[in-house]
Amino acid sequence: MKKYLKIVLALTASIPALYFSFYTESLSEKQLKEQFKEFNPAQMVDYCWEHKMEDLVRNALPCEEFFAGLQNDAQSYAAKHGKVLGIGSNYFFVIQARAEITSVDEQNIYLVLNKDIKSVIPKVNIFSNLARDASAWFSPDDFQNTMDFNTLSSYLNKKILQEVLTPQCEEFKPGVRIEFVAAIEMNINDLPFKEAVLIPYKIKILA
Amino acid sequence: MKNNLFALLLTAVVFSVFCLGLSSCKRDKNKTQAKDKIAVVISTLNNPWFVVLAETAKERAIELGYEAVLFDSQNNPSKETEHFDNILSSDYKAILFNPTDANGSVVNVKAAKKAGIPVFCMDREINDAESSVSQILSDNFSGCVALGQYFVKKLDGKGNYVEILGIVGDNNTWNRSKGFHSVVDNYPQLKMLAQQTADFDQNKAMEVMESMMQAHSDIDAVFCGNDAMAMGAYQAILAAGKADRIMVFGFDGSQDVVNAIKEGKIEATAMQFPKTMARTAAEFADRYLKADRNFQKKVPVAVELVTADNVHKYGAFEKLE
Repeated sequence: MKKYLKIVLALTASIPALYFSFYTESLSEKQLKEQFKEFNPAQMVDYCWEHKMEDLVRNALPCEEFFAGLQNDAQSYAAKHGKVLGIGSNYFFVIQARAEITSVDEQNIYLVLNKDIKSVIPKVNIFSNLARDASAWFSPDDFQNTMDFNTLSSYLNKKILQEVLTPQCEEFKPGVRIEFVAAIEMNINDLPFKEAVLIPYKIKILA
Repeated sequence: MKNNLFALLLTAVVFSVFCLGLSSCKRDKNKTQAKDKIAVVISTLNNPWFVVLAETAKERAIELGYEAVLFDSQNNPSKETEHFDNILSSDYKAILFNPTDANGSVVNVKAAKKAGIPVFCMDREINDAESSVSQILSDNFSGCVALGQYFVKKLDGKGNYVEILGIVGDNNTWNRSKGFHSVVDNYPQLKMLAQQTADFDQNKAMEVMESMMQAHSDIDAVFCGNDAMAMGAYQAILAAGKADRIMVFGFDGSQDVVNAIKEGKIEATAMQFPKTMARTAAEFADRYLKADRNFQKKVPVAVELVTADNVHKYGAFEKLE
């Protein structure tokens, strides 16, 4: 009896050892790593757009909650919900909101958020790393140099123009109500917000 | 009685040995601390920006209890290699490093890694993500995107401009230029007439600007890859009597340019924070030497646009409290 007990105990003890002796990864993970061995920004952006957008939209902060959180205690709200890239006082967020377009010109769509914050969505040119950094899809540590990391922004900005803004461009008119999920940047030393730039990942025109 | 005396003597001996041991340990500890040296290797000390970077790194390392020694590479990769050879054979514990060349400096960092000496890059990047423990770098691209947008606004989206680049082998040069062009190239009425390098040097920039003005009489603006070159370009423009016509844009946040923005001579710069980068590098080295191994490989440091509207908030290379 004792002998069987010993065997059972030895087998039980060896299970974790065996488990931790192997490293497993899914085929899709493996294929993804192989695929991205060579730096291909367009492919990386397309992959995230297809596979990570759902999570990003689901976790977007409701606009009212975002502004209320900043008003109460900006520092701790930013630390909890914002993303920061390295060292600085700029935080990046993804918010979801509904708003009415107040005006449109050649370059931008204008609207008002949270009753009094003038906001602008660029519709022709998107610059900056705002969409990249708010999404947190990429880390500078994963790239050989910062030039590669910055190239991702150009592709992501282009993708937003092609997929989100250009197809609906004709429909953006004053008085039209929209629902959107967008990246927004906040410098905790420059509060309260006076103006905000929004880079949308999704925009829906409301009936 | 005899036993009591013996016990007393024994206690005294044990106590003395314990005290001696303690004092010797303390002496050894002080001795070890005195030996811990950190090298601060800087690309050049012929530019105030790098002097601030170097001095701050050195001061912070000293504050943290190390002996810090400064090495000037004089923008010369072979000089830098000589410094590394000396450092690797001289019992330094860590290197706070501002490289001369993104590719050329990799070999030095690899040699240090092989010798077990951690390297922390400051401000300038090397094209190798693995050799250094961490690289603390200005977010040059984002800074120049902001500068580019301000540039377009000031020129109302049209006009002729020239660009003066920094050192060709430095990633900062290209991150700045690419950030700037990622904006201005979208405006077809903004035409770049010439693009030349002046190696981040004020005197060279003055010469380059002079020759650009001789070749093109219709320049509306100049974008410079750093503030030293912006000052050089401004001197040339002033001497040519075109200060009212040509707008100058820099990058760094030096005292000269901050003052020039206040006086309306220069339009804008992007404020980098060399003191933040240098302090962070020294603190990372200290943490590493205390067995911490948890470091972000790349630590971007935010850059802020400085214009006439907000220049009162800034001093030389820093934001005023």
